[in-house]
Amino acid sequence: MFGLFENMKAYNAANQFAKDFFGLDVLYASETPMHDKHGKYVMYLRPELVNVMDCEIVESVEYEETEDDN
Amino acid sequence: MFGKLGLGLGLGGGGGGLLPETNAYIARVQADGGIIGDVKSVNTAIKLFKDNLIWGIMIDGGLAREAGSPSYITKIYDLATASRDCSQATPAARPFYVENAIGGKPGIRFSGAQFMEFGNDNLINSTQPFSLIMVFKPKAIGATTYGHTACIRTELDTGMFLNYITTASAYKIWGFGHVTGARLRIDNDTLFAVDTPVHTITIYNGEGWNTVGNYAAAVNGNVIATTGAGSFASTKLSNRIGFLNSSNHYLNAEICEILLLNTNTLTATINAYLKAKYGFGA
Repeated sequence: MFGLFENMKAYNAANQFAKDFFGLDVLYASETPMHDKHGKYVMYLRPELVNVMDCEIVESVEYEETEDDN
Repeated sequence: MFGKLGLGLGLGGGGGGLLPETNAYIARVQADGGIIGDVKSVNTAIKLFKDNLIWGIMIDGGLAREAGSPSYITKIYDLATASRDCSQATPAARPFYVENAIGGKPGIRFSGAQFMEFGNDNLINSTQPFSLIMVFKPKAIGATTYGHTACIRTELDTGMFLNYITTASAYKIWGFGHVTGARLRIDNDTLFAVDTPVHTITIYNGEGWNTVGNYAAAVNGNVIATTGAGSFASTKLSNRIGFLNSSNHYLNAEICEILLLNTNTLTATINAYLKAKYGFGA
């Protein structure tokens, strides 16, 4: 599952939450997230996070279109 | 089982024991806190390919993973002596362990946002013959669900050898090649269907990146016709499996094994090895 966030502030807060949730020494997710095709910030959610994250939850993501076709 | 093939697939070493190289690999993995999945399987691969192995990972070999279920992979240990181990420091970007991926063998599941890196150095140069072998099973294939399963560097500035699977064309395709050289693909909705195990071999003869005829490709033991592919992203990234960051292309598949050999002459041995281990192919 994936979490979609409207802005970096919400994404960063969720990333910090996940770090604390799992007791990690490093941030849970990248500090430079990908965007979906609507420009929302994408975070992959491990199963434990799905029911505790305050964000839009989706099963799959359509990412931004890209120039190359590989 | 392996020994009946007549290809030296049985356990090596005197009296059926482990090869010194296998023992060294096991010792290295265990000293690092990793675990060994199947010692016989590791020994067989090392026996067959140790003289030609540039880089190789097998999920039933050595790896390190988090506790819990699913169990996320933190490191996969390179079978080759150069020890270019795959790792992923960011927890959300780790693939997870799958107990039975293909033919009863374990795999790692990439489900859309995971990748692992194995250094930045060049694994092959522009005149290096090679065979790149991958055993995997697509789990989802979409227009933006690209599968960059291996990005092998070359001596060129933007050198990067890619393999991917996608539906960017009208077909499910498997593609490979070099950003400034030959770029080829196989179009086949049946071979590359979701939940269909595949092993592929990309063969290069070492006589120039820009000549299409210098490449060949086999799927499940059969040489398959190729067509020209489009452009590749030229951003030079680390050596990695799983995705190509600059273009948001992701892999959604289970990978069991990837081997990079410094020869194009072992195809028959490779096919016999893969069929014996995973139970499918010619």
